[in-house]
Amino acid sequence: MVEIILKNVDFGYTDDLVLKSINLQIDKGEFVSLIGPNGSGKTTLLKLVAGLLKPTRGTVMVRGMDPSKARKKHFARIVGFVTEDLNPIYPFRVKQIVLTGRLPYKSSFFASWDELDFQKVKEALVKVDALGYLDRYFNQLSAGEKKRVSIARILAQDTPVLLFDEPTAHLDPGHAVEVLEIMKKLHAEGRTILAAFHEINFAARLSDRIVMMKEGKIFAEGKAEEVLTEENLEQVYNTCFRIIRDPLSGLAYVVY
Amino acid sequence: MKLGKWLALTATFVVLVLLCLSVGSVKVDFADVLRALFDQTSKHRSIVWGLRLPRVLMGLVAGASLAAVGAAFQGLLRNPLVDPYLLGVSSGASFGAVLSIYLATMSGYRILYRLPTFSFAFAMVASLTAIVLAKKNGTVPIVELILSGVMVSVLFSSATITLLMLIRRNITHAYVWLFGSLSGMTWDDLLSPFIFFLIFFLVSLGLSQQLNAMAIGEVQAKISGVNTEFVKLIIYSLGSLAAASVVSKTGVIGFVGLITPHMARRLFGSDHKVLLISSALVGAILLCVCDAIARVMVSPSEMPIGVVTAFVGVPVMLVLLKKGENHG
Repeated sequence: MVEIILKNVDFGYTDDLVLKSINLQIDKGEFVSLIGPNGSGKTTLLKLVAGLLKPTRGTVMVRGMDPSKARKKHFARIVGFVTEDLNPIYPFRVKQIVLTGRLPYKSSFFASWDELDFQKVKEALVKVDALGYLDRYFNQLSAGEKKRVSIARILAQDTPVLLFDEPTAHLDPGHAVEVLEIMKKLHAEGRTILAAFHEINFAARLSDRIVMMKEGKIFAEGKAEEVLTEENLEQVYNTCFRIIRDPLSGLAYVVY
Repeated sequence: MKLGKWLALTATFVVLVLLCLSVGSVKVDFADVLRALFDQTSKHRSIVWGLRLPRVLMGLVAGASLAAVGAAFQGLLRNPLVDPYLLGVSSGASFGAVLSIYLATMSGYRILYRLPTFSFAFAMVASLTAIVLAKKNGTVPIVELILSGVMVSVLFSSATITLLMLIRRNITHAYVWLFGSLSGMTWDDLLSPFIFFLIFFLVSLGLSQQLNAMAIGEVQAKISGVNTEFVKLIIYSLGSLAAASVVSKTGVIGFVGLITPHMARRLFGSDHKVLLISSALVGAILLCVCDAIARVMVSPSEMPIGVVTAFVGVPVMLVLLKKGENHG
């Protein structure tokens, strides 16, 4: 079953197009990673799927809905988006931040939380191993803790489709792997995942399919071993790459 | 702990209201204040009921209104320096007031009584202009809104100064108004500020979870299905109406709407469901007390209330900055 379709999508903030004739189809339960250099259009593509931007031309569909036209609350129960950063300027507790993920299930006026909301918040925090932060102030958490809480906020939203923008950015290897493990779990639960990665090896380890972008276009698409060739990588990133096989696990690694 | 803070706030509120009713150029002690409130034949009835009570109530309503609007605007715009006059309400209102004084001097003082109507109308013209100017593809982006608010404010302030130059005489009335004052408030004056405050307060409380999401991040709010443009439009317009209805009666009272939300945030947290209530209470208390001080400090004359709110508010805020819980 097809979950996300982008058909002949162009997008530009001005007359210069940031995305050019994008065609992409993602099935239910699939894990697709977007890779490519800065400015290749990964984040823009995610924003189009999340309905935060409208395509200049072409159509974007998620479960047959146009994200920019769908009823906002209804759409928010289908698609969750973990953005790169979350920085509230006033002191909010983790609990309050994760609770805002429950808004799609609440009335638009005098929304009040019930037992189910608190339960979902706790479940979400347990899933990212952050239940202990419940009553702490978000601003006092470390970068890795903040990232886990921002994932929990979207998990509380309980959506079958999840979008991630650079989920491992600014994280040390230990915390990055923690986030990857969470994403793996979410994929195993049958959720559809579309994630933009800078770290090519992370994308290779997790995804069913890799979409490689360059200058607003899809440069290559397919299974990791098909797409991640030294030739492709060098053309896209303009630097030298080597593919090395780990003698212990037999897995291929991209080094540069 | 929290409950204790709330009880303290409510008790402070009641005691201070009584205190505000008792002080002034004629001192009425607590017992007489209470008697005057409930006994129509009391000898202090006319002072307490006829003069002081409307004035104290206006202080409460104006303080609550400006503080609640400030809290909502600061959350919505994710900007701690925003106040209720963001969209040009104060400069629009000032222009309207000075225009009515100007027209009054031209026409031999026949339309001076329309001052509140004029200032209210121009406050709304200013804020609507700011919103319309900031509008872009059906959305109202934050930076554009702040900038267009500043532009509209500068324009109306300049027009006000031009008018003041043209009037040349009878300028005291204009200056008293421009610095804000609660003197001479009647029961009739209370009605529109109170109604607009109530509407704004209830609606913003109803949208408090959406305001929380917006304060965490506009994009985050959108992702969680909040109709952000709708929330912005409702809060901006009702907030500007509430502020304009206050300003048109009392003149421009600065500082309360800017600083009170920060005091309330430090005392009771950033959750808007609590913040709107605590801001309104703290704002009401602050303005009421400042007005009492304004009345007695240089009695029988009066200090401009904006000056007193700064003298009282700055030290209180500094203490809270230093001593308040460190939220990171």
